[in-house]
Formats: sequence, C-alpha cells, structure tokens
Amino acid sequence: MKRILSIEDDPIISSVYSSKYKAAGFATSAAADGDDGLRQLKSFKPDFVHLDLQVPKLNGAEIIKHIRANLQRRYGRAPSSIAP
Amino acid sequence: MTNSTLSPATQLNPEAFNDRNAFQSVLACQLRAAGSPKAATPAADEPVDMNRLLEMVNDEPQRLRELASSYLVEADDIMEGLWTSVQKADWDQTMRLAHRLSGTSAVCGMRPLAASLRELEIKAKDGRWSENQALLQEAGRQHIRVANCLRSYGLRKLATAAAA
Repeated sequence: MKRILSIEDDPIISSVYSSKYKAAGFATSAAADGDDGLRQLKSFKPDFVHLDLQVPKLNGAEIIKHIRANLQRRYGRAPSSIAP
Repeated sequence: MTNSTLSPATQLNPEAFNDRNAFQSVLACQLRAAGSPKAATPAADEPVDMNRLLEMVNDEPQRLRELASSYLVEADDIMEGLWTSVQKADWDQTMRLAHRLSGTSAVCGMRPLAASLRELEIKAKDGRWSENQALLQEAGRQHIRVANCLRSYGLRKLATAAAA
C-alpha cells in the first residue's frame, strides 16, 4: 500500500485530505508542523508528501530542500511532493 | 436560502441526515430551491458549493456534520482574530490569518469567502488601514452568508447533538 504523509497545520484541511487519501486506498500519516514532518519523513517513509508551504517551525520550501538533499541519497528514492 | 424555501416534506429534520438517501434528496431539493439548474454547476456567488463540500467528505453525512461544525468554529475564531489584527494594524497577523481561513474555505467550497480573504491577504501588506478594513468587512459579510447557509442545513445543531 502506498503511503502519503500530510504536512499541514490546518486540522480541517489535514482531516479532509487524509480522509480522501484513505478512501483512495493510501496509508496516511499527518504532521502539523515542519519539525514533525521531518521526523515522519524518516519514520513513515512516505511515497508522497502533501505539503502546505506555510507550516510552522520549518516551511514547505525548506522541507522540499531537505527531501531533495537527504532522502534521495539516504533511501535511494525521494517521495513526490504535492503542494496544493 | 433558508428552511422556509423547502417543501414541508423536506423541512430540515435531523433524522434525515442519518440516512444517506434522505440526506441526498434533501440536498437535491435545497439545490433546486436555490435555482441551481444543475447540481454540478452551482452559481459562482453561492456562499457554499455543497457539491464540493460533499466531495470533500466522500458523501458521508456524519463526516459532513463534523466538517461543517469544525469549520464554523475555526472560521468564527479566525474572523475574530482578523478584526483584532486589523484594529491593531498588525498586518503580518492579518496576512497569516487571512491566508489560513482562505485556504480552508477554498478547500471546503466557500468560494466567495475564500476570494475576499485572499484579496485581504494580498493587500494587507500595503498597510492601508481603511482599505483593509473595507476588505475585512466584505469578508465578514461573506462569513455570515456561509454560516447562515450551513446553519440552514441544521449542521451545527446536528454536530452539537452528535457530540453530546
């Protein structure tokens, strides 16, 4: 089962999209800020990341930089990012 | 649109929302009463695009109740924060709050409110108090329309009852 990590500080948007992703057959996890998002990128190892560009602590652009700089090298692949 | 626009058979009944078919027929009636020629193409100035809102909850009445209730609480809080930030001319906070509620409103199908908040978000940085206050007043008007529309479906009452 493909995995999607939602990094989104708005609980309503996070809940709505998590529900949609689950209904579409994805395993989901949610982070409410950039720091938690980074932790879950490592532990949850998502195939896709739903990323809000304005999240607390570490913004979306910095998270994308981290994904490109670290995850590709470490895991041999990087998740695709979605920034709605 | 209010309950009074519905036929007696479809007056809002909390029990109706517990049954998917009844729920959808009430919704269809509401859309017809609103003069929508086609459910898939609601008028652009409708405060809530119910098709979009239903799509976001996978057509599940319980999820719709929860989402509408959460949205109303969040929107009330953020609008209050916006009035305070504009009064204080705290434009960074105005931009943050307008951005947040604009995004949530767009996702949930509240297009006119989302658009007015987006304009406030963009123009807040210019720091023109009277212009920003006028934009916030328009957002406040749209917020009231959204709240009235959702309340007309009895969603807040139902959500409160479900939570009790």
